[in-house]
Amino acid sequence: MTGAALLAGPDPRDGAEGFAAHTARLGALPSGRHGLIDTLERAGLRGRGGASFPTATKWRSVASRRGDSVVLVNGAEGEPLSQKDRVLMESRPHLILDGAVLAARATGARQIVHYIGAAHAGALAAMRRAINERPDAERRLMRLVEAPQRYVSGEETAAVHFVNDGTALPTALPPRPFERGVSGRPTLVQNVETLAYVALIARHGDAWFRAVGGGGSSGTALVTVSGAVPAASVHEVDGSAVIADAVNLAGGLTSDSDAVLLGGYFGSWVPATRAWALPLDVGALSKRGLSLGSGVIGVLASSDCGVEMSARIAMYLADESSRQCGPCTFGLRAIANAMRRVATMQAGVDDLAHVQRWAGLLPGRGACRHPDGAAIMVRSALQVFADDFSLHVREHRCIVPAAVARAA
Amino acid sequence: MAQKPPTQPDDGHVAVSIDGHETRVPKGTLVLDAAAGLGIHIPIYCAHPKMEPVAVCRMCLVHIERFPKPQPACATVVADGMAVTTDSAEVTKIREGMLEFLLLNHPLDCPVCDRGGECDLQDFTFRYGPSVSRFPITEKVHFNKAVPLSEHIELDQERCILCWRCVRYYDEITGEKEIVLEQRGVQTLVTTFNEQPLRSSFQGNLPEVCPVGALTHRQYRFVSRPWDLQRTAGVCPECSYGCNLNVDSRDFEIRRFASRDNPLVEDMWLCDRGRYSFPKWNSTERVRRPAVRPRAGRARDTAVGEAIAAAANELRAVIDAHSPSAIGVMGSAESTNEELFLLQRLARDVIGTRNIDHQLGSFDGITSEEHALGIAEIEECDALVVLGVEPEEEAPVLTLRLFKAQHKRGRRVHRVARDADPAGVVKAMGATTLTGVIADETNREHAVLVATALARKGAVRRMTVTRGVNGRGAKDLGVLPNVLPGYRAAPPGGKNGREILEAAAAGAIHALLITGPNAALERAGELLDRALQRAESVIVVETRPGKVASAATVLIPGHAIFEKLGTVTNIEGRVQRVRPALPPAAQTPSDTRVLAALAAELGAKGWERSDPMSVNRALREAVPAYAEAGSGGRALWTAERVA
Ligand SMILES: Cc1cc2nc3c(=O)[nH]c(=O)nc-3n(C[C@H](O)[C@H](O)[C@H](O)COP(=O)(O)O)c2cc1C
Ligand code: SF4
Ligand code: SF4
Ligand code: SF4
Ligand code: FES
Repeated sequence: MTGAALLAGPDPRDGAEGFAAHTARLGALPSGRHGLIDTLERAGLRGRGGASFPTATKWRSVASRRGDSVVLVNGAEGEPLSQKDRVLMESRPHLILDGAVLAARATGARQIVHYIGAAHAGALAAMRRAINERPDAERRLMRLVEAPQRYVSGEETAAVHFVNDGTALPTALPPRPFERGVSGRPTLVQNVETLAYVALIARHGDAWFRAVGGGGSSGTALVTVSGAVPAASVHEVDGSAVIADAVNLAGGLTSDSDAVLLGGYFGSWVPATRAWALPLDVGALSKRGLSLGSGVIGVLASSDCGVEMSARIAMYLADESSRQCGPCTFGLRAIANAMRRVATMQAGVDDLAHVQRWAGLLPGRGACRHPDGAAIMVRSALQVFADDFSLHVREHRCIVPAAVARAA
Repeated sequence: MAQKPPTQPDDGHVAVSIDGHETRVPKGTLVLDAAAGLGIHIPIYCAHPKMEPVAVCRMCLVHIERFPKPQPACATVVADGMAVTTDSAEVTKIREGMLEFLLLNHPLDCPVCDRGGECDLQDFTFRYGPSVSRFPITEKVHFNKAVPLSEHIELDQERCILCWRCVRYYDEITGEKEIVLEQRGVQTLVTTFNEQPLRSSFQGNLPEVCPVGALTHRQYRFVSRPWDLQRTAGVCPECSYGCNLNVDSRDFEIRRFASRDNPLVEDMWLCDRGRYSFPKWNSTERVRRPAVRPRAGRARDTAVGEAIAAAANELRAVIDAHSPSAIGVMGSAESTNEELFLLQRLARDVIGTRNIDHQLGSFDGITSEEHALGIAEIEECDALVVLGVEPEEEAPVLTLRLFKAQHKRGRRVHRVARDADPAGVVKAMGATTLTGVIADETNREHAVLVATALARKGAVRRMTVTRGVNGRGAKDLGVLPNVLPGYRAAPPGGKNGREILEAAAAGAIHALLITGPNAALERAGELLDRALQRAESVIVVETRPGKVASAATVLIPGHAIFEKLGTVTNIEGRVQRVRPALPPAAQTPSDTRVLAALAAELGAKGWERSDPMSVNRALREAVPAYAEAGSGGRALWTAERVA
């Protein structure tokens, strides 16, 4: 159930593992040039930045391009409910750097850009220190760029755009980063957790990866549990773990809970009754139409109203949109406004129907997946909190006393 | 057995199918343009034919086979075998959704919006919008309405649909920064850079760039509805660049100039001087009646026939008393080619004088070479030398073509002093294959020196920015003392403009025949006064009252450029048609008829067919380059045609 692969070794709370300790524990970095992509493919490693895209496929498309490429290490962690990338960068920076170096070798990159959220001071410091500990030949390839603190900053085209010219806006147009990204070169954008796993798979092989997954399809995963638990915390779990296990690792429930937000602000609300037994495995979840996203498990406390929470998230996502594309600028804003009206008991009778229809108009319409992600959250909220929404709209009433007080 | 499709030769084209219609288009074509070629309209907001795609509005999303999600037609390049659908239920739903989102935040004050009738939001809502009105009255955002951004432009922030075109217009077309989309809290808002008023000389293009009524012309505010306007294709009268435009008029008044996209000339962009010059053509200050005002005798208004007869008498009297060379003829760079052609014939063949010009300065040694560089060819020169600020001051839209050459085509543009040392220019240029040298017509001699120096390094083509809308036509057609139509050498001895005035002031020239308006004459100042006073006879065909008209001994009203038919030639030799957009202010025959009647009074034969169309035919016969140019093409002279 609990896994110890990424966070095996010293207690993560003790700070960053130095280069010497890291090498002593895991051995030197294998050359990894030959067959690493095949190994990753056999392992079935998928991205941990949210979209769960097969890593080997992405590497191949970058490697097949002509000329030097670039590896962009994505440590932006813009998702407010997630802390796992930060914890990893603060405790195991050398795993990430190993992974980045291996990625550079496998894809023919001569530049590694570490793109790290400007607000994550601890992670920035740890990564800076770790880079300085690396051998000269590796250090020379690396530079660190602070990602602006916006939700979209971590989106891959926004990241490339920012590194290139200082604006963290997603680009609506081809070429994609793997075709032309940083400085016009083919660019591999990879989440820090994904890269850390590459460092381990290169050493232990694909069979190990599948085994460490505890029967799941995806190795272990870092999850952030927050909400109705004593404190938000990050845990490593394997594919045999269910959500209830993760909640227990975080110290157990501090109140009743009706629902869990799985995957982050782009994720889905799941009714608690169904959530507890859900396995934390990418493959198993996707069979149920769900996604682990960036590993977020947000447990709704009984003092919180799901309608209000969802409205707040929608408002946040509308504000955080890069406001380039029509559907995001106008559609997401309209949805968020209507949801706020519902949450504050000011909704008209049609508002719910409008939100429902508008949410159907968002997916696939923007340049990046921002509107899609928002639509997933909104639609799941309408479903899971259907009774609460209807109460808010028809009777201007909320059953959560604290939320009533806040709305007043 | 299914037949294999015949393999197509690789001719740089690809086969695509759009809504089941097959077509072959050049590689690199956008889906949007391929569809347009088939007559399939895809609605767009952010895309603009002259700007790079940004694909942000998502109005143009279409379905493409094998693509997981809808793709923007404005930014997707066709691939061989691509199958595109623009008329499916899915695409319809996308468009309805996009329009609904836009309208949610839109004031919908179409009845009082200047854009009503030519607004892409209004149009697309009508064409593609949901059939039932399901727009809830939500909390619309209220921003500022009718904010003046400058003397010309007004902004209605509520109507903005955030298409970015205005921002990109400055960025990509003029290279300035005057408008920004600012994120203010949770809203994005169009506003001016640093809250400064607009200063650009090209801001008048903004209302046409904006797909809705957010940016509008202040001059046009509430003036008219597009469907009330009568549209006439025309040419900008303000300079010799020859920008194509549409003259929109109503009730016999021009209400605005609108762009008419000729990619070879102005490329859709007008300068503000040109665009906002229209009110002067509505001016009531016009010469309306023919008059005869003999030096000794009573001034009186007459019928036009009488005025023409009086003019002929006066000219004949001078010829009899002195000689034909005692007559000086001044044409105008604002006349049509037909008028200029007749005028020089009248001067040379009927009157028999060699004193004819249209400007004051000397055009000694002029050849067609100084006009060899075409406007669009500017983009093909690997380097461009612009001598002084005058060319761009004279023809502002030239600046935009130079910007395009520099920034879209990566050409080098060197702006040097008017009198830059030729050797220095050559040194600064480095290696070039084709260099364009651009000067204005008052700097011809220096331009020759620079071009000659550069010619030692590679090919050189010159452009001379002439003065007056038809300054080029006047030269091509020999309204100069030293050349005949087509740059053939004229017999020597003719006086140029300044010499004609000087001779008149000194009493050596006794009669002046002036067709106007002629800005060059006005620049002669006190010399003009003395010439007009001293000449026994001043025969004037003119539209505007003023010094010249007041001094006339015979005055005949002319037709202004928007009141007549004919052609004018721009700086690159492009022969473009002008058409009447307004009725003539004076009830007199056209200028070509007046000139022909004068020739007939003087005893000339064969001048009967004097309507502009017939004169144009005669002109083409006499000047082969004009025959080849046709209408809209360039009149070019090969070396052997240059005398
Ligand atoms: C709006 C938006 C925000 C994103 N933010 C992040 C982020 O903060 N960190 C991250 O690793 N990926 C983020 N992603 C996903 C990236 O676009 C990209 O898929 C990922 O970095 C690829 O790495 P992976 O394949 O290892 O997951 C975001 C995506 C979207 C649409
Ligand atoms: S911009 Fe278009 S839709 Fe908006 S008020 Fe004006 S005419 Fe109507
Ligand atoms: S003002 Fe007009 S051109 Fe500018 S962004 Fe708004 S709608 Fe587009
Ligand atoms: S450049 Fe000349 S022709 Fe063109 S719009 Fe300006 S004034 Fe008119
Ligand atoms: S017109 Fe294609 S996205 Fe705007």
